Amino acid sequence: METLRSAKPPCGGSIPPPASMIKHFLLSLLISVKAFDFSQAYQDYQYTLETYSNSFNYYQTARDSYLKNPTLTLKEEARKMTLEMLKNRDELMRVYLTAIKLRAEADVLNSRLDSEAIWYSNHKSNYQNGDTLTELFSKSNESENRYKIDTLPLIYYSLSYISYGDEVGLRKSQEEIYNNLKTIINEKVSAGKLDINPFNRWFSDIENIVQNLKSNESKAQSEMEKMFDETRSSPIGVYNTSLIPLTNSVILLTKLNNFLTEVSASIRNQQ
Amino acid sequence: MKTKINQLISQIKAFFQKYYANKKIFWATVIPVGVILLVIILGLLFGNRKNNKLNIATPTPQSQNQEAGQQNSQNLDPLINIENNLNKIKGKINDLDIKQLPLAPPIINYRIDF
Repeated sequence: METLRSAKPPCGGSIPPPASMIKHFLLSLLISVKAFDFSQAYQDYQYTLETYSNSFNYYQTARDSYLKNPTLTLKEEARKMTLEMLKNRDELMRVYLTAIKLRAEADVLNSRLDSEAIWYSNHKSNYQNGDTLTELFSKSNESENRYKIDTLPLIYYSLSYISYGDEVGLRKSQEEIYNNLKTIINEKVSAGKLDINPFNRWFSDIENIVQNLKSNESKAQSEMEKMFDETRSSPIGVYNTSLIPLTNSVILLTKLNNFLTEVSASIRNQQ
Repeated sequence: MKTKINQLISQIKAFFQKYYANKKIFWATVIPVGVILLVIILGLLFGNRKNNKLNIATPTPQSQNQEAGQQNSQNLDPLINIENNLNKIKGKINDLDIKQLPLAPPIINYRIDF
């Protein structure tokens, strides 16, 4: 507030005319209604996580107080805190799934993450202010079952898919650059400005790395597909296994980038 | 000369007195004129200022021209574009977070019954 009060126009600047102020106000309004993106969704998630954590702490305090001194008043207080915490928990899952969806930006995941988020949204509205503790525990079990059976595999699949998508995107960008470099080399060789040696041998080294990257992508993908298999060990187990080839690919992506940089520098040196 | 001026002033005064006396004519004139003035003022405030500017090219300092020329030649060199893109990719590879740690599932305690 103090900084706002002391804010003055810069030296030599003039106070904006009313038209500029109106334009500025309208622009601010337009910016505030811009599309909801991952950054905003992640901020929402952080805020909701904090809200849930606070309500969980209040719930724990109220529950402990009641267990130490089981009066009707303390039971009612514990019931209210349990209700609030459970509603916040469903809201947290809804916001978290939305953040994942916006980070993944994948058509294959959008509808599944959306329907999962809708389930939590609907379930949250099932909680009634007059619910007894027994009813609240029963409704909490519904959330728990949903989380373990449907949500958790989808979360881990999505997280793997995000990393998989990031790596595929980088590999494709590198392949595009490689093709551009090959075109430049072939043109210069045809014009007699460049010798095809050693580029022809380097091409095969580069193509080997690309093949290894694609192979790792396939391995990761086939592991990820096991996520929804009922015979799988655990979602986190499948997730960790799918990350092994993707982790190995990071070294290959770096190597490929260095090779391409070297090819570009060699073209420049030979010119 | 003075008498002519005094006559003219008195004629103008008489005209305005008649004009203000007849309220129907007064409002019928003032309202359209007011609207026109309002439109002109709004036009000046919110109108496209580009139209008001003179199309006179601002002289550019020599050094800026040289920089622009260098940038153009850089953009024309495909190798420089490729190297820039490779640098960007290098940054993205370094920033890769395979485990997506910021998006790790929140820790939720489902054992809530008591």
